[in-house]
Amino acid sequence: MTLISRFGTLLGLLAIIALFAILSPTGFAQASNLINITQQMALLAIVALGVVFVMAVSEFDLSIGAIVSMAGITSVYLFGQGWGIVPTIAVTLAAGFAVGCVNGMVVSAWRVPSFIMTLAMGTIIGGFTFWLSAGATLFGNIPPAFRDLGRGYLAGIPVPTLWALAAVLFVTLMLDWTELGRRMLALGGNREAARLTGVPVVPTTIKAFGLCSAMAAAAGLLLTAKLGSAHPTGGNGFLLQAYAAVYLGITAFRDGQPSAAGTLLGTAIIAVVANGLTILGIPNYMQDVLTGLIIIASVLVRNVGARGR
Amino acid sequence: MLEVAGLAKRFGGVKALDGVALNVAAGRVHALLGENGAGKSTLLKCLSGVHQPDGGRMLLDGRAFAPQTPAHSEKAGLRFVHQELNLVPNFTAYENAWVGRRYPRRGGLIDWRGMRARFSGTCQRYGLDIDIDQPVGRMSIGRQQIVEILRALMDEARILVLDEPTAALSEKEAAVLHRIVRQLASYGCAVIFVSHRLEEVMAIADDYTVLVNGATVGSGRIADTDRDRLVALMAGGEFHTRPAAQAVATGPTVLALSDFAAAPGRRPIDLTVAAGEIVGIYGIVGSGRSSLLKSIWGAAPHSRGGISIGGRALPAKGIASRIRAGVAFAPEDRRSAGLVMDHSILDNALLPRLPLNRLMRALPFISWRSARRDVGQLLAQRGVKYGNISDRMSTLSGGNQQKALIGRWVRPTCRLYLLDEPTRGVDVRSKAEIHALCHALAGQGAAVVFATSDIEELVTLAGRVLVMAGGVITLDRSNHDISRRMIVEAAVQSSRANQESQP
Repeated sequence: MTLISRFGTLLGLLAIIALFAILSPTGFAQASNLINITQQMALLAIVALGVVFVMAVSEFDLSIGAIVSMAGITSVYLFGQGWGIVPTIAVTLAAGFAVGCVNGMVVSAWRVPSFIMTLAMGTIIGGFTFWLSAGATLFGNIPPAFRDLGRGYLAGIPVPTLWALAAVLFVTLMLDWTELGRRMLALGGNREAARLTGVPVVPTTIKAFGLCSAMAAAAGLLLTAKLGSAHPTGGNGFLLQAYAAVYLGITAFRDGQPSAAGTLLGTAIIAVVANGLTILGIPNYMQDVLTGLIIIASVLVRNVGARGR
Repeated sequence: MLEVAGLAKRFGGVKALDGVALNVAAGRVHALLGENGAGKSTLLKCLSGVHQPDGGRMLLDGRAFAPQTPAHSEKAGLRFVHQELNLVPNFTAYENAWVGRRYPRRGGLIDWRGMRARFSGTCQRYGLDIDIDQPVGRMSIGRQQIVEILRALMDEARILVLDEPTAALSEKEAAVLHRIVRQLASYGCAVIFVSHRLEEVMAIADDYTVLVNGATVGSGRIADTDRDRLVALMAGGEFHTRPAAQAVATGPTVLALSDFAAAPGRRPIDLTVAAGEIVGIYGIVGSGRSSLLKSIWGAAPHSRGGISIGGRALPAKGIASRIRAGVAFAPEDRRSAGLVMDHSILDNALLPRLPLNRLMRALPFISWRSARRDVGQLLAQRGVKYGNISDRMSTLSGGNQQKALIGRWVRPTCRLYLLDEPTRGVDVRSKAEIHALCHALAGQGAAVVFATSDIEELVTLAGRVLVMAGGVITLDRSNHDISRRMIVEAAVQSSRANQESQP
């Protein structure tokens, strides 16, 4: 029982992989496919890893899907205006960061519930993105060097996978090895206790939202690089999947806190299920049903395990 | 009726119970005594089926009694009233009484009249005049406590367990509760009564059992013992003896408040505290002692006046500036405002001292190795007992949590400690250790300012006594020439005067 409650999510992932490997030894279980999965999950992983920051301070950010879309459209728009790669990336990331800071500011300094604030912010950004793109998919003059950031291989590993790994390292470093990260977690654990112990509530919350949104913007840039185009609602689907991944990740370890490693595990489960079911020829809508069931099941297993303690 | 022998229970590496014996007879009130952390709550949880003991036996009417869930224990006739109230504030008294029970029905729908009648019958049985149609949220805490007890008594209870029922009650309310307890015993019910108020125990209990460190160290009839012997039993083993009241210090000024008002409408105060002083602030609830400490700490901006620490003026708000100036603070409510109970002991202890354990001095990266070592040492010095430093803070007893809450701030550069109720809800031994820590800090040249609602603590710990009432300091004297009477008078009399001056 303790084994299940402690490593249940990891065992679940391995069980799912084993199941697909048995059902589809020639399709799913190929090394090339497994590497492909890491590429398919990379962008979701980056968005979900950003969410870890706001979950750490016990808040929600529902604007991340809109930020992914906004980053894509903004970058293609700027390329269309003749901007270079570096300034475009810098401005797009800064825009994402700034949106997050506004969210964090309003949420922490004026105590607007983050659920409401970020939902409204997502709507605003969605409108802005629509206006900037006139509602159309943008192709523009995306430089090939920019596209290479989101495609191809380096030393046999897909480039997006490398970015996702970098994101895991970044979030782990921030949360577990910096003072800011510990303060975020303390704030999320008990706001008043953290405040009275000297944790600066407003700056810490602003940084958490800023980092989350900047990572969503980074995912938007990579999505554009990967596809060679940007759609004004192209990133919206990331929102729910990212939260699903983070929640799966929270159930992964005993202490019940959001973590980078857990989130990666959660993303992997979602990606493996989607990939495996596609290879088995199961239609998309069934994949949604199964993904939902897996999320519920993982939380159930954990709760049963926790009760056994 | 209930017999417990050799009961043992461990949590991880910590022995919570180790040889508990308890014999409760029908029709008698049995006082269960012991410091916090002595094992009272664990024992009660074994009785209620929340925990299962690892060893020993429990007999009910001579038959083995091993409740696996609270429902088992309830079926056997045990009723528990916990210290914290479990009422729905916007439900009326009688609605609350039925929460969790099978509602009476009439034609498949809830029989509201029947519900009301059953509960009012219970009230009458105990001769209580309660407005059962009032939402309990609008009742005093004492009334709510009584509703909670009546709820437990709606159907036949064989053993009623009351966990510190009078801690939050006024004298009058406590008297009502005592009457119910005696009446219940006269009906043949056994009552287990947990309390820290020995006067109360002497007055209403028939028998007693004292726990120390998870074991029964004494039991018998109240009539055969006295208050002092019970205190001696509860105090158990050795603990740091209290140093004699310290001499009034004459170090340099550490804290200076001038024309300082914690909140608008409050009369401003002036106060200076010198290095090496232990200043105790006493006052009744609402006297302003907590808000004074909080505004010194910068957690709530003061409305007027100036504050300086070590001669340097500080802004009205900003905890960071206080920490930089060498101030430490421990709030009165460690659970909701002091510690992150779900996080590890290490994380909690490290939080205010993160910059002390960096990998590289200039960068905010944590060296976990040095953090573990230093925090481990710090907690060991403060006598904090824990299984593993990565365990959750909630696994510690109240006394150990409190020692960690205060001890985590201790460092040589800290020169002013603000402690709000430093020993609330803490056992005798931890209390002595915390008091010893305060003396040690003062001896090293720091100033300690603590607030308390316990006169006993005020006069044992403080070198200088302040009494507050209505936000104003009404008494400021050395502990050498002071009497209880003066303190109580200063707390009550001037608060009345102050209220009159503030319509």
